[in-house]
Amino acid sequence: MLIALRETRREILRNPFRSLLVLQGIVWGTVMAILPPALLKGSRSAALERAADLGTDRIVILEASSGGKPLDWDVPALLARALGDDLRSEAAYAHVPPPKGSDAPPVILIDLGAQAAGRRELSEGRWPTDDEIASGASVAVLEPKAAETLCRSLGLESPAMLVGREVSIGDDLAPVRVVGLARHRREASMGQDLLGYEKDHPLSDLIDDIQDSLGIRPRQAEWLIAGDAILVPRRLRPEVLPSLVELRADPVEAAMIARKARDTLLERGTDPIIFHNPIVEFLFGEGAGTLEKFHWVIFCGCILVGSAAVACLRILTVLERREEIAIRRVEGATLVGIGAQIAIETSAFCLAGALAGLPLAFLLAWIRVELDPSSTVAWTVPIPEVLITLACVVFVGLLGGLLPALRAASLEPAEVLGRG
Amino acid sequence: MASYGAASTVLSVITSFRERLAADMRRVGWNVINVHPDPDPRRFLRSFITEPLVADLASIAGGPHTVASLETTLVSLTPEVTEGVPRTAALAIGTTPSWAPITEMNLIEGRFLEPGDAAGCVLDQWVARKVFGPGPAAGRTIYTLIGGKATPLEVVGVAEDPFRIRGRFDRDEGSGAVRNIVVRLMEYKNIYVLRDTLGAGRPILFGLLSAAPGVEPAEAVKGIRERLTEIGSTARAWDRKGWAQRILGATDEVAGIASFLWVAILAITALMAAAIIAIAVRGRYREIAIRRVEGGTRAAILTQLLLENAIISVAAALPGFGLAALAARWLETSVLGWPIPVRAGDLAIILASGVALAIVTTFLPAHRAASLSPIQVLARP
Amino acid sequence: MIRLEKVEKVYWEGLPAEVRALREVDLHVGRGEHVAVLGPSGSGKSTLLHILGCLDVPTRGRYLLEGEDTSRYSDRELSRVRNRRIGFVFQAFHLLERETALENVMLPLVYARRRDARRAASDALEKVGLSARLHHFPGQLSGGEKQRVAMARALAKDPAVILADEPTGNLDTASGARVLDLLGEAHARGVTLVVITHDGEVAARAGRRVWIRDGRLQEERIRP
Repeated sequence: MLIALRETRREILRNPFRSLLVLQGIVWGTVMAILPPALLKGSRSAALERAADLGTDRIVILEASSGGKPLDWDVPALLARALGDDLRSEAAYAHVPPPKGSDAPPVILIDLGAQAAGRRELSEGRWPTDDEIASGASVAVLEPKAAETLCRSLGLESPAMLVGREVSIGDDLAPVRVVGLARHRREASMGQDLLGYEKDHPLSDLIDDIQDSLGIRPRQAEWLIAGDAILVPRRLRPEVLPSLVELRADPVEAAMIARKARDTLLERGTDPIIFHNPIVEFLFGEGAGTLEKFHWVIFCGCILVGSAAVACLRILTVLERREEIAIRRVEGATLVGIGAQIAIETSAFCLAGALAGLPLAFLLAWIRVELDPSSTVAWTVPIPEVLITLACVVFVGLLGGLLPALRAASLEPAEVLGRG
Repeated sequence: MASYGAASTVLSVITSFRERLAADMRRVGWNVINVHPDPDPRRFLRSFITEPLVADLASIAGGPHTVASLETTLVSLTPEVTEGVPRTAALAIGTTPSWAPITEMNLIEGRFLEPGDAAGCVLDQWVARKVFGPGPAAGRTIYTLIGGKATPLEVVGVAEDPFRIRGRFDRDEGSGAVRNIVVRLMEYKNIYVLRDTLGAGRPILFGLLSAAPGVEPAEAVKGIRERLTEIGSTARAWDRKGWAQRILGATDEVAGIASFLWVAILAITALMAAAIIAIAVRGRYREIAIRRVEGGTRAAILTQLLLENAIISVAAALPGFGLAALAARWLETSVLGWPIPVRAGDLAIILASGVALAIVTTFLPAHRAASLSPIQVLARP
Repeated sequence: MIRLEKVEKVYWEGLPAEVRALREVDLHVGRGEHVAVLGPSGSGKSTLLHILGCLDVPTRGRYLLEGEDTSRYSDRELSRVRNRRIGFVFQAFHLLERETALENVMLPLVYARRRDARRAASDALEKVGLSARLHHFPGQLSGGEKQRVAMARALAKDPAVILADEPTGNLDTASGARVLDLLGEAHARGVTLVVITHDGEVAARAGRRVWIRDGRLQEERIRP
């Protein structure tokens, strides 16, 4: 074994360029085995473990303009009844922009469940209680940009000083008392839009163009994460109906839940536009499953071809080494021993190719992640797949080494050493 | 051999995809112009569609026109949600009988709507297959939600799916990305009813115009957009032909990039083979030296070596193409669902590329071998 | 037939490893002569043979073969000369291991694009007594038989001159004698013969002996 490994190292170092060329099949086969699971597992793990940051557990419902029954404040409860434990949280919101010409912050009307569904964190103060929300108490939470605007207009030193103060939300409404300041929503603080795409990515403009050309910008929902509104209980403006419903669910089930929510709303007579992080549906759907099987097929094909190429190379190098082999036989090496040495060398050679393919696969995964404007696309080191790949390569290498092993074993020492 | 098989399969898939998509795109009605409100809510209010407006715009296009209301609906075989009974989401298009001739709709069952079909509907093939499976749909009853109420409708016809490329990719609506109603309309997962069936008071969300014979739709669209600007409307107008051509153009670009894949397969194999050939040639130095002694010129030796590898390459290609034919059949039946012919033209491209690569990668070792001094080789023990 | 005029062959000229293999060699070999070239190891015998066989070109001087100055020939032209006019017989036989005896003999005829290559090769093998070995591979032949195949290859092309480098060096006495007889028969038919040898008996068969030492032709004895 040690002789075999030493010979392999010597062979590779003597002809590194030639070795690399011959190992192309093994190298690219390894890439095909590792790259898809690296991306799939990394993205799935990111979607599940960082759901709060990436918004992969969020489903947004808007109303289509087709003239169906409008959304109302009972819709979250309706969906909670229809979807049961599949839903983790749900809330409805209404967006009330300021009057034209006014630089006052917009208002978002909230109902029960808004803090949980919105994953809202506070930097100061507290969230309105359920009683305050249910009764329409004159309380408010300020989003960061609204707090800054009001802070400037009131000449205060810091937004924290707004807590406890009364602010106006409209000429025709009584002022509300600020009970808390919200932090930026996670997506906004990460520079993402509602669909999980980074806003400052080099390809952001391209994504924007594609979405614009297809008319699929979720513009009507951008206000949800803009961070510039005053949040007040919806009963302060009872005449306003919600324009958006936000649901939270297991990312794995997001597609199924979105379809169920759609069906429930259609039965109600509402024509909804429903969307969520588009990567999630692929990650946990059939497409990814097919890809997972397919890439193993390609891996097997590449490895078989690659090891055949290595076997050819080994047969030729065995002929070059016939004198060395003859001398080993003269000095006591058995046929089986020589054959095993050659087979192990072939396997170790293939393994070297696989070890070269691993960093290449990780590099390509990294490039793929960097190129994608969606933050949900991530990569990881798929340990089980790495081990399986290396084991397969070693095994196939051993099989491929049988032919050169037979060739080496067939050399008669007397015949070889007798030649001039 | 495997490399030829893989490269041929990849090229066949790419070629068949482009051809299939191009053929499908021709079936969406190349004379048709779509007019609809602006999906941007900031401009929606200034982009209402009315029948008089659509009629006015139709005079520019020169052909017939119609209007439609749109609503997402559920189509099922039962009025209630029943476990095990197939149902599917679809876009309900409330329109007039002229929709079919304007869009050059091809009915594979029955007929399109007529003025008396208040209780009738026409299904897109995709919807019909989802609900009825492979069996006939015309004459059967389905229930569709209109305004939240399960409404029974008789299927009077089934329209052929223009997108045969859907193949096995017939997953559900796909709720991930935001898609407005107009985008969904072009997915041909629709149910067509008369406007009154959907509700006479529903807003018009779509105008369909047809360019008269001899009128280029893109030119008509220019005139329509000018007219809309004149009247201060932000409604959108676009021709299906231009839309299809843009999609095909983008597909061609992607296919061009994907073509890199089969070239890469051949190139990588050629490099592997080149390394092996370099060693194999080295083992033949003595033979080459003797040939040179007996009068073989460098050119003759070089030609011999290059031809040997070209012939090996050709010999490997033939079973490789056989493998490609098998792979294409498997992909067609089990994975993709559309025909993937393995064409002689594609194979010829692959073969020529493979042989050319074999010659190029063999050239250096062969040239080196042919240039060796025979006396130096023969003098070695 | 063969004329060397002040031929020099220098390897790595101007470098510290410079080797002067041939120094101002003048040699004239007439048509139909049988010349033996003798000398110790490293004296330049092989270099002389390579020049004569157009396997190498002189650094300086001229090599005239049948009146043509081959010193400045291109590789293509030298190949043509070797193919048509010079037959080679080597100590190590230098046969193609993966081709039969017949195919080995056909080799120069194929390069010469002769339509009668197979027949001519077959005839040549018959002349050297190997008609029963046409389809044998070199691995299946004895040393003597291999050398006779090499002889047949040299003779099949009807050469003007045969160059033999220690033709009996790897053969037993009987086989060596047989090969020398074949060379003699060729000489009798008018082929010019130049034989490099250590062996006195081989040299004795030549009509003329040339000595070479340190790259110079030292002595020449002519036997009438």
